[in-house]
Amino acid sequence: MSNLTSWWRAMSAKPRSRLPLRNLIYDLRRNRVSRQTVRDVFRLLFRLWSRRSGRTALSSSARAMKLLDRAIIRVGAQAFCIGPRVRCRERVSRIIDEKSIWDFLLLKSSRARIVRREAPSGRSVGAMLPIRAEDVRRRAMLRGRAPIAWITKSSVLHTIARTTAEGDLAGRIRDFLGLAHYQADDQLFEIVYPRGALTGQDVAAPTILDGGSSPVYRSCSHPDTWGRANDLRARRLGGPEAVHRPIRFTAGFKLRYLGPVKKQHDPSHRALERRDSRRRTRHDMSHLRACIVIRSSRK
Amino acid sequence: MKRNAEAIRRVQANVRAVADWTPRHWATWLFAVLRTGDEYPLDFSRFAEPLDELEAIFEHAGESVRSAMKDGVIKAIHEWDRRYHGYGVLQQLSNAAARLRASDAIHDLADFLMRNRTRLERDEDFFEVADSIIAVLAGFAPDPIIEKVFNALLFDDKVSPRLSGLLSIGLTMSNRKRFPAAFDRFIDRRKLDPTFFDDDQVVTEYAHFMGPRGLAEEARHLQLPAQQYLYSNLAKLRLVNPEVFIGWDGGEGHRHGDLAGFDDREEPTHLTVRYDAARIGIEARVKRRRSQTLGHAVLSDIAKRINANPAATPA
Repeated sequence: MSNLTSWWRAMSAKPRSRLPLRNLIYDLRRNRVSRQTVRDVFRLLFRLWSRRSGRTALSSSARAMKLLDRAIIRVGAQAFCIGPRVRCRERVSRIIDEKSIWDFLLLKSSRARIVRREAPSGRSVGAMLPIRAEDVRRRAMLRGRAPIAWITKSSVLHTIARTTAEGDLAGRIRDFLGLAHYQADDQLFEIVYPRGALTGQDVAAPTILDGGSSPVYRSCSHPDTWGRANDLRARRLGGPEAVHRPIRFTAGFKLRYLGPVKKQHDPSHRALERRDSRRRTRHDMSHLRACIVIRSSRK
Repeated sequence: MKRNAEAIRRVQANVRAVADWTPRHWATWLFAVLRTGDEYPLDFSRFAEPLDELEAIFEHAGESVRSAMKDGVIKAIHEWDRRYHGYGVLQQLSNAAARLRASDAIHDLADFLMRNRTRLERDEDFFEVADSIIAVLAGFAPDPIIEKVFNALLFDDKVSPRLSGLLSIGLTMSNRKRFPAAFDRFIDRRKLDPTFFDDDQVVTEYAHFMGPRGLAEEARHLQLPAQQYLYSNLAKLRLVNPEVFIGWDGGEGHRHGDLAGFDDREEPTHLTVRYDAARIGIEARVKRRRSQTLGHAVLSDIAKRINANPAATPA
């Protein structure tokens, strides 16, 4: 059995791992990702896949997904932010949790902020956390674990804020933008980008290479060129999303407190699969094979 | 923290995988994940930060795994080498120590600060890691080692004045009796870089530990500039009711000439400081209530009182 077949079988075994497969095939069929990059990813993936797994925390389908993620990361920056370009003419924002702000973006000394266990109190939802040049870490970059940052339209967040009760705001935004990695009690903030912060930067609709094996990520083409998140609360597409390469975090950005996540909705993988209208076909694997295998021309 | 089903499954699988890991395994793995971001052989969410996932494992693991994790973090901090690992890794390791409550890391972190104290003045990269380490150490207070180290650093003129806020509050948390000396020193150091500190936040952090009322009462032992700074910020933030300063809270029921709650034998300049703070607090309150007539009446009362006692007039 070839590496591709065994990997495909592992990925097809469970609803959880079938979700990224759908994204992969969707992106390949619509030419949303460069075939050369996908080829590079799979070359690395199969090298890792053919090794003995040893003792890991992973089942075979989980290992198949994990190695896909590892291969994407190893291919490096060229694998990220390569989807269809986004027309980014309006204000954008990014959602972040409080721990990340203090770990990566702001200094603690200017506020004498101590690392302590209990959650901060006394802050009201919607309050701005002032940022001064003195507060910002010298090498602070806006990015996640992968070398990209996920953003959405600020106007969408404002609409949610107007129509949602204060206590549920962070949870609603989490669910609407498919931010399933934030859990109950996480304190969320909105980073409001200054106008022109992304001028000259590549801003792209996310693809499978950006979303990786995440079960809530969904590749999607929308007329406004932005991608769309999976709404975790309702059975429909969620808020607009796009990615950009890392940029420097400065005092020009604003931080708005959104409150703690109180209620979180996490649909089952089966439910996510059911609501996905993109049907799988029996030609999917051969389509992937055709994309990633370079056929040598024989004389 | 409540986690969703997927996160719980992932964490449980990770807990099983690390069941027999020794501190040596943990230290090696921590260096790998913090340098390269590759958490193999564990399974982390692609979007969550490694330390969040590490904390999740800690919360779900049994006592033996927890103990190995703590020892692993301590070992990694002990073995950290700037040339191989860089400051960023140490910063994350100190955060990991805070998240896992690895209090034995205090020794190495404190020792590291003391050995490198000369760098605190000029090395900006080092300043950022010191910022994190001091904030983490303060979170472990009270502890005699922390008191000793923070005392040495706070009263060392060669240490950057920008760290004096964290050092003074850490010292106070280690030994509450040191509050007057620590806060006075903070005010002295603050003068060297007056725009660096976010005064509202610094005072709020102090009030979080000592309680606003306790802070206002302890402030009587401070030197005048420190008292002025503390009172005015407490009043501006409305953390303390003006009643603490002048015996009247700015509400209804005040009669002219009926101010109470101060002692005329008090040092006149200190008295004025308290009046000033009360005025800031009352102004904030009056503005909110839009009952300016009442507010102005009281403020003029305060002014009359000060004027009646010439010694109380500010220098």
